[in-house]
Amino acid sequence: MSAALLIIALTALAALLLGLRAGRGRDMNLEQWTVGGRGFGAVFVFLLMAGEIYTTFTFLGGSGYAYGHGGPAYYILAYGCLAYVISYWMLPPIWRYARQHRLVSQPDYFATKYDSPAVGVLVAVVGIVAMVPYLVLQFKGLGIIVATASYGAIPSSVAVWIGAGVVTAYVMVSGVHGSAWTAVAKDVLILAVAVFLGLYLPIHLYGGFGTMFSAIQEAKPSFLALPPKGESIAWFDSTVLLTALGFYMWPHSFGSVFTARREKAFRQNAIVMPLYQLILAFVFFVGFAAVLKVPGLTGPQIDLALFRLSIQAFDPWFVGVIGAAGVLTALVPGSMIMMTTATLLANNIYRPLNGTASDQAVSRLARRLVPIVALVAVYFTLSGGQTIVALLLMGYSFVTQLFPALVMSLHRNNPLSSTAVFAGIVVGIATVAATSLTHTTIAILFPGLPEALRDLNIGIVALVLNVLTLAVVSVITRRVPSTSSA
Amino acid sequence: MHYNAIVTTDSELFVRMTFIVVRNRAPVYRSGHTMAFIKALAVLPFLGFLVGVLFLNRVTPLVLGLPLLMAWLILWILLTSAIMAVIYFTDPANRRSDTDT
Repeated sequence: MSAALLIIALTALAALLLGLRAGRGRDMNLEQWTVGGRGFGAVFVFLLMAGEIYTTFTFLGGSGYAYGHGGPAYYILAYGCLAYVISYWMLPPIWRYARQHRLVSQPDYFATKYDSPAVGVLVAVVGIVAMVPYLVLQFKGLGIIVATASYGAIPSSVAVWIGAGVVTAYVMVSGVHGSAWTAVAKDVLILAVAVFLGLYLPIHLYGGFGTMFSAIQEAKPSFLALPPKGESIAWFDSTVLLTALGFYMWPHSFGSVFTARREKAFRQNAIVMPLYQLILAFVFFVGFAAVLKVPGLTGPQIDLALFRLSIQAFDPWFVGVIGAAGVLTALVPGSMIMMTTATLLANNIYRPLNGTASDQAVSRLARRLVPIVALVAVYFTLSGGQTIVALLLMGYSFVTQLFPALVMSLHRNNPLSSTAVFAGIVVGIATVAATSLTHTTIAILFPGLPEALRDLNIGIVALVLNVLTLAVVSVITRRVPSTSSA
Repeated sequence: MHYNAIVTTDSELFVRMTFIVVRNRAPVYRSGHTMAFIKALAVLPFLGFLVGVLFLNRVTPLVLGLPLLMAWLILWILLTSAIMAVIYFTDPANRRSDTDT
């Protein structure tokens, strides 16, 4: 067994033990299991929320995107910050309402606010459809990391099975407590590894940041800025805005809001979380360092940039440390997504359809669904092709469609009817699905637009249609005297 | 060890420090007008990230060795944090007692 493999194996084992231990001494009802009994302080809420952001997609995808796309990767720096600014005012009222009504999930919130079980089920379906590809992506990243860091000794399919097993075990036993504790270990490791790599590689390989970026600029002029076409300024602005709005609409992010003990936790997080975004800058440095040192990776291979460069630059034991950090970036968000998916299935799809189901029955079902969710994700991981990334982007656009109805729900005199919300979300989702599956872009839809606008993110169209539907249907349904507004 | 206890201490400490800062620096209650003005600062990150890009989409000159656009965005990450801190420390919502609501 190589040194790298040993370190990765020990980390996975430690994560398992930590996760299993986290739930000890608690009566694991659904509220305790999925939102930690609403008892997490600011630090844990911060780690949970940060834990969801720094996924394998950031670690491999962030460096890979910088390597393959250059300047457009900067959008990842920007959207989180804007989401945190919004969160300062958006999350406290959501938290207050959720606590008052003892809600445990995002669909609960929509169903209760709009007084409509149908809206709840719809939101649950949207969330599940969006989350499964996200989970698949974590498993895929896990497989790549272990296969690369073990120098091929463990095939990625075996790594995926082991990883899925570890997460399933501790999610079933400890629920969100397991995620929070492994998130602590993960954040310490990823912080250290990312900052070290981001500083060491440019200095070691190029002699410094200035020389590295000058060399890249010379070899590939303007690679480090936004191009005039394609991923241009219009693309950047529209993508940053859309992803910032969708940021907290992921069911597992929304659900982690409920774990807080105090609403102040979110306002404090709005100060600290932007600084946490700086880790991404270091991840980008690694990707940029790889541009001239491991050239030639294209397509999905760009995600390997970080590891290819690390294997070139470091001894196997340190590749193992990087691999261990990578494995944790897959396990923690993976556990949150699995738990939330199981909760949504049991609490927001099964329960409304079986009105008599007791709390205990729902709670038991949620935990039993965890291995099934894991199996589905493993199946897609091992069988799916590149369509996963397309599905993930679609997932992001899906959850963003929940934003207008959510923002309006925070108003004291919300003019939206539940019918309008249902229709708006359906229209938004249908538009996303149609445009994603047919690869439609704004440039195709509106060929007459000036160049600056042709690169706008297509998600804007879905959001606009969604809002129009909300407005029109609200006006129509309000005229019917028999409907009572929520 | 019961971790809730640790977390409580941490966040409580943070809140206490907050109070000390707020009491020492801002003994006078701000008028609603001033508060609205301070909250309006939250618009700045949107301008910095979304509008700034229009003018600073360049690689050179490098700033502290970084491409100009990247340096600009990193600056705004820091400013966003600072702005949210100013809003936090002046927001009366955070001056209420430590109880949950």
